[in-house]
Amino acid sequence: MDTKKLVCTVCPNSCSVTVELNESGEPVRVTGNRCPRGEAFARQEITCPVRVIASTVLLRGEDGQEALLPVRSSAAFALSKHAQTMELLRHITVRAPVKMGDVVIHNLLDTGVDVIASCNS
Amino acid sequence: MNEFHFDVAVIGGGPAGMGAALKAQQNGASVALIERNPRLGGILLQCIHSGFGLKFFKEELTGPEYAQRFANRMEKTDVKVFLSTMVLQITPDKKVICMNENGITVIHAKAVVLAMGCRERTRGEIKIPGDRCAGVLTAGQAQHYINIDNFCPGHRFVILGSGDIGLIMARRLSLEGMKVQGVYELMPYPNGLVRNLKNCLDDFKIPLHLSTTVTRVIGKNGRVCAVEVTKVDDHLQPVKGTSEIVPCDTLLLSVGLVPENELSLGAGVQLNPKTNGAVVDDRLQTNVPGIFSCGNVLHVHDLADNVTMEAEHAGESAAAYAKGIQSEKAAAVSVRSEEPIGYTVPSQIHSLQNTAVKFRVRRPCEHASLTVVSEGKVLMRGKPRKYIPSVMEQMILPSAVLQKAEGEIVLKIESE
Amino acid sequence: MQKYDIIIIGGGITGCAIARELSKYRLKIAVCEAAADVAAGTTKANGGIIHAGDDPVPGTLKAFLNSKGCLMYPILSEKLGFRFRKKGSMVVGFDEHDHAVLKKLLERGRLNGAPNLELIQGERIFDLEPETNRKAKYALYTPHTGMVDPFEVAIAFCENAVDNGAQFYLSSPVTAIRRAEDGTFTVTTPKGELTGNYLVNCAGVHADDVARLAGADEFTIRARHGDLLVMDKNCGIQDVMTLYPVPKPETKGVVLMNTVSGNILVGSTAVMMDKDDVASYREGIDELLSGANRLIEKLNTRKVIRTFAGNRAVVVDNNNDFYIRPSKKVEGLFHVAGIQSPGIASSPAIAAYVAQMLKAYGVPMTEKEHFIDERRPPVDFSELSMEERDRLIRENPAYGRIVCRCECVTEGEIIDALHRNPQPTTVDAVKRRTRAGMGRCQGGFCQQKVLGIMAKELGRSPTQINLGRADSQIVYSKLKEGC
Repeated sequence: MDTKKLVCTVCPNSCSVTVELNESGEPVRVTGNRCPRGEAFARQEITCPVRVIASTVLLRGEDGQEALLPVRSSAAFALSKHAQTMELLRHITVRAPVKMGDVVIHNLLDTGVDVIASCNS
Repeated sequence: MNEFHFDVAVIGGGPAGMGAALKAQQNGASVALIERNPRLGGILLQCIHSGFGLKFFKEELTGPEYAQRFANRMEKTDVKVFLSTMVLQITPDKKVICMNENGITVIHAKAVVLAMGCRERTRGEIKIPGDRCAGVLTAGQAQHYINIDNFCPGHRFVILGSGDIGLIMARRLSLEGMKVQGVYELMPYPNGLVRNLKNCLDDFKIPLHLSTTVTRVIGKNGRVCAVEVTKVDDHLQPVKGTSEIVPCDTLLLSVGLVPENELSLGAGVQLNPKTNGAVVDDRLQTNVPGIFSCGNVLHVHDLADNVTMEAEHAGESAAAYAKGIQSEKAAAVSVRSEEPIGYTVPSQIHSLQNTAVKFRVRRPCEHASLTVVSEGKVLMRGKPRKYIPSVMEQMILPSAVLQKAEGEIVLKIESE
Repeated sequence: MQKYDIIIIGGGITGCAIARELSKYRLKIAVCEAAADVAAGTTKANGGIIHAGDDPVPGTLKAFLNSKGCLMYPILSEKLGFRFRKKGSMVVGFDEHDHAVLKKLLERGRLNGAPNLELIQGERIFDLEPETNRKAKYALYTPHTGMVDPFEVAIAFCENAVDNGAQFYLSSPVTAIRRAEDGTFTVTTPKGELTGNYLVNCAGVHADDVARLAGADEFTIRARHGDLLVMDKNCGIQDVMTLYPVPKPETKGVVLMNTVSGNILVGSTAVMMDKDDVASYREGIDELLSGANRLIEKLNTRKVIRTFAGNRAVVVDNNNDFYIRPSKKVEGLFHVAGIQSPGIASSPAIAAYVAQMLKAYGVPMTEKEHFIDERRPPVDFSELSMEERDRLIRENPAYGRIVCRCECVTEGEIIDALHRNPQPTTVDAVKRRTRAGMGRCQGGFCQQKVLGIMAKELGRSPTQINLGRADSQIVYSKLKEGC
């Protein structure tokens, strides 16, 4: 049976996790994690790694001045879709005023995840 | 000149300043907070990545979110916030002289909390030889250009230093379409958190070169065109014949942070040469009565959450001092550390209650036990585990142990 | 085509001083400078000591111009509003061999007419400069040694020359020189051609190249490279006098200075190198650190905030002397070459000497009736009292916005610098005028702010603003384009 070693990135504890895989590469058993979130992370990481993305979008202020608005995805989503997301974010303009948590992109690339504002602006 | 009177003046509106101000206010003090930028948040505003708040809010937030939550709390209080205001001087009798567009303002405070944060070490400090051209910048400076100013500061990057800011910038640059040639680290081990190594380098297939440093900057027409990287030996000295030229147009430096204590020095605050921060007691009070220090100006933290918690303690102490609750008494115990522990905060303990002691090791220690010794007697011994320099450790010295201590306690790390 | 009486090639401190001196006369003057700013070559990369004239070999042009030049500084400093501090210097000796050398230096200094030199020993050394290495036994004390920031002086000369009608062409390297039948010169730069009746060659390490362009292949310059380093103002040592080691035959050694801005400056090494190599070298930096510690043992060498290097022009077979004379081959061309240490101290005297030389040569020179001999000095916010600051901010709120927190530089000072003539167009040029970015964070916090202010005041995009040299772009395109 194959095993894969991972570092859990759910929290700063950074547990070293070992995942046992079956013949088709699917995770069977997870060891080394100190909490249940670690197991879920490891299983996800083997099948389809997901991350929260954080970036910026152009913000047009109430005075017409341009600035950047920090944004993030409301949850982790497939790493494989991050490049496409960055391209989308490059060509968006948000108008002030914005409140933290406001949705900037709804259901990003059909992932069910939103892009939300990180702060008031 | 304008004059004001407050119980507590907090210098800096980042996570430390906001944490201290809120707590001081909750404890009944009238509080002024002075922030040089036009909005609260400090360096968090440019740290747009997530990873903040896991300890304090039990959820993962970005830097601006973490800052916004505190700014929202601040709004609901009567803390007087001076924005776009620069503190020029703090006197030992706690006059805070500051300036803004309206002129010079003097704030008379009964207690002062220092929360100015830190700055990055520069090329000059680490004396990288070579051409002095555009394209050599600190990671935080690049972060500002990219996340705040909307400018691309280069196309092909070499990053020196594997501290967290350097790693996070490697990911930011990659996401924004810039090329990161590699991260080079002088030490034989990485200096950032493990999760950052994974999420910032591995995800983007950026190589990390340990025991390697930049030995020369090569410029062409006033801009970086390459850097020379060289392997170093056990004494961190470049090894002849191992140099390599790496073409790039930008060198990013993530080579350490230094607490910004210029104002503290002016107030007569004594610094610890190991942390470059103030020498403090368990109330986070400096040698100047009524001046407290917390956050990255006290010692460099790796998590904003820890900064907040430390700052709350300082805010509480400052409020107590301003109200005359805190009595002046000699320290019961002094705290010292031995190699490989680099320092401890605090270095003096007055109260014999449970006390948090923070420290950092100077090199990785596998399977090592933390021991607390006083007068040759071992008072406490921790379970063996791993200690690494990139993680600031915190241990609670139980009241029972402090009661047994004689004058001085020594923190040691003993590898098996 | 622009016509001038005199074209000065090179806008270092020498070229600027000469431009200012000649602007006292009814002459149309142009200065062509290759770099984007004046004072961007040898001038910016040296210690800024105003030597009291004790050191040059007696009888040389250097000795003559140094002793005259240093005496001109106090008045110039007042009139032109640059900082000049006279704090004295000591050449520090540690043993009997050093003592013997110091005696010779004393003798030489007296021959040069330098006033109040003293050979001292024992406790007197530490009374005068308590920070001196306790192992010092003897010292040659020169009370009249002064300090300036050399680029500040050059900029003051330049701005005053401009106030008096001189024209500065920046980013204008001279690529060709033609001399017509009637003796007029045509000077080609990428920005166009200028004609002039006389040429003054102040092109620093490239003065031989410029001479050759004019057809005067008569001397060769080699570059003596020097590393320097600057310490944080909080390095624990403050307000010291200039300290020299006992010189060796080939070099004056590593000198420790206290700049007029309050930093410890250590320099410089001396190695012959390629003219255009102003990189700093590890060996050089190490030599500086150990040299500095020899003079002040307790100096914390970890507090370095910047290293840099510069080249000094050495005219081959000229006994290390200045080379100031009419060309041997081309009429109407004058060389002011080989201006190495003590070039800063000598520069105002060099300018007066050149004016005399031109007069003697027959250049028609009538003094102006209304020469402006003062310059409006820039505001130095960091030096003002709290009351003065308060007043200034109330007059102009831009002085209430700190841009460079390390050096306490306000937006008001930067805006003022950007509206002076000649106008600084690079971040380094603004730094040299205001000190923004010269502190311990080296622009880490303020560079983007300076860039923003410059973009607004110059009406350009930040992407069009360079750090210093041509093509030293700081930021490229915008990242987020929006829709």
